[in-house]
Amino acid sequence: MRHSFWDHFSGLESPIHKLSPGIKILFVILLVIILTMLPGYYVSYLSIPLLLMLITILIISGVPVKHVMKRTLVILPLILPVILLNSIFMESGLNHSLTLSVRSFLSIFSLVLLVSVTKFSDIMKTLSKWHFPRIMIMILTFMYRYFFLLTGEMEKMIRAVKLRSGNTRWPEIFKIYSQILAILFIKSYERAERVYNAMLMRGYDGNGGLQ
Amino acid sequence: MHIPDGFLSLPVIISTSAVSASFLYPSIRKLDKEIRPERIPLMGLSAAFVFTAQLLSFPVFGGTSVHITGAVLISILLGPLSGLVITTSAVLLQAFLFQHGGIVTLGANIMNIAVVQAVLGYYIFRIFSNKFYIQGAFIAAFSAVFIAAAICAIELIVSGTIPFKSGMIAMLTSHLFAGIGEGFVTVLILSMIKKLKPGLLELKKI
Amino acid sequence: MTIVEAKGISYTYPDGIEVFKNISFKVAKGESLGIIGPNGAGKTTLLLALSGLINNSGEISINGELKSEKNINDIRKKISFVFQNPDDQLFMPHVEEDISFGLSKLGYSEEEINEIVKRSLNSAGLDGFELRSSHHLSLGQKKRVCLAAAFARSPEILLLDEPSNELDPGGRKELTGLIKNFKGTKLIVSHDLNMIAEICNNVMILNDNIIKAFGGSKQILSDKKLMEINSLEVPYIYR
Repeated sequence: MRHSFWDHFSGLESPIHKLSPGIKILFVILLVIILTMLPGYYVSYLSIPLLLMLITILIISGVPVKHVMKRTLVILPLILPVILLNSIFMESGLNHSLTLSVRSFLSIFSLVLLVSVTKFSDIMKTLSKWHFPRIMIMILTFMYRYFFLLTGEMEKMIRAVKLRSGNTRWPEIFKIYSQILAILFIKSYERAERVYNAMLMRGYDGNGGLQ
Repeated sequence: MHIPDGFLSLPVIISTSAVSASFLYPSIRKLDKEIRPERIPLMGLSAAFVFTAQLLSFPVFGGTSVHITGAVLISILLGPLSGLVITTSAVLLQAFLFQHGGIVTLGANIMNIAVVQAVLGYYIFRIFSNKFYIQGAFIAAFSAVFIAAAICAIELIVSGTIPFKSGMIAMLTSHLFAGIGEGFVTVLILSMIKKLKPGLLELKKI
Repeated sequence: MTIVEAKGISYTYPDGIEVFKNISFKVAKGESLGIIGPNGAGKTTLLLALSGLINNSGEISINGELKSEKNINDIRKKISFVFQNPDDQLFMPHVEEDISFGLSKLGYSEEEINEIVKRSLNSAGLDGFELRSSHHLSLGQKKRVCLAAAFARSPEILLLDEPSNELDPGGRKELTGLIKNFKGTKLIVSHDLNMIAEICNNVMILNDNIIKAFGGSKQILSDKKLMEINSLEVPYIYR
């Protein structure tokens, strides 16, 4: 569960990083829509030029290729069962699966690229400019900030349980993990109270977003 | 259950997005008007909690593991609209930062996870909650996951991504266990919270 | 001139436990007051009461103004609160957004805010930290960002809750220096009595729901008997 590096390279300074975040977001959305709408026949023709274009962008951005590849491959466990089902039970199975894989691989690749070259807060600011709902932006901002912390707290509790009771197995582990999640929710609730105090002390009055 | 880009056809994308939007738009407007300011960091932290909880692998027999979605749990704790918006935020962040789910499939994923599980699941819970709180939570969490899996399978079948019969069977059997797991974990978490900090079960439901 | 005045304030937790009962004190402008005492004596709760984050009975006046529901937002404009856990205080994704949070409500323009962010980071020795993510900082850095955010508001009163808690000696020394540089009124809650001795001119001992002692820092901190009956110990420089 190591993922503190998901947008680790978004702070680099390349020509790609400096592009307006709005343009980058629109570009990726457009690309994904095109991939979805094109018939399979065209997808296979377009896949190589599109891949080359994304790789060129990746190289200009200076983000390590390995990082992007690793993040892109998280799609595999989702694609594989679908390919399996298709190849066994559908007539045009293999061809169809290939189109599917190309579509989702290229979509994911462009998404990984987007978050590697755009800061999270810039994405939020852009969404805010586009009149994305204020409440969603606030929730996403808090999520991004506290997700790392909560994951750390959860891992600490799991380690403590493992130290005390060794490798507990199913079904007791269900109970223990549920307890850990219950404590995690209580801790999150208490932290929310303290965060609200900190917001109040800095002039937050419930109007407007987080500024 | 997070459908990646490339797996859905255009008609399915458009119709699921329309369903999700028609739920989200009025809910967000209502929340925006009615929410008390101290609730905003709580929603944010709860969303981070849901997100973290989804990462935890519960090992089951045979070396496999299940994950929970936490959608019904968070709706029971904070209310259906909060649950809807919180799980939608989780789906969004997962799509953008984790590449778990896609961009044009957002409408479908929000429908399966936020609308069906958080909202429908909450109302299933409400049918029972007055008399059978714990049993109601189990039934709600289980059926929410199971119904969502069926809807997810239909979306994939209509898109021509998976074959009809075997696809449906595969989705439903695998989510039968996921649903039972979700139900048990939801109940265990709720009873633990009741033991440690009962006040948290009485938060205002929005 | 008195800047903080508490008259007969009491507070009881929702679960019925009393923390302080009918206590009164005054803090003069520019004073550095150390608030010490054993765990659970209500030190942090006292700071929360002064900033209106909990409802106490009795009267609290800040700068001559009686604290009430109506003027609490104006009173908070004069106060910066550095909470014990920097992860509660730094709730935005990047350092810059945390420091600038709420500054527009104090009437600053966007250019002024950018200027203030730069200046306060510089004063905390954190030049170039604007776009760093809070969750990637070390504890010492987080604590200094909290101080920078507190200074950015140019407060008249600085409330600090366990500022040196869990810091390594180097980080503690840096932080002590930064706190000393702040010229306004300071109220510091801490178990770090060596730091209190270094920074504060006055000290209050809170224990058993009341103020056990209030006076000159050296006089109280070096009183071995007084310190020991309150579960405290004399800091090194007075031994």
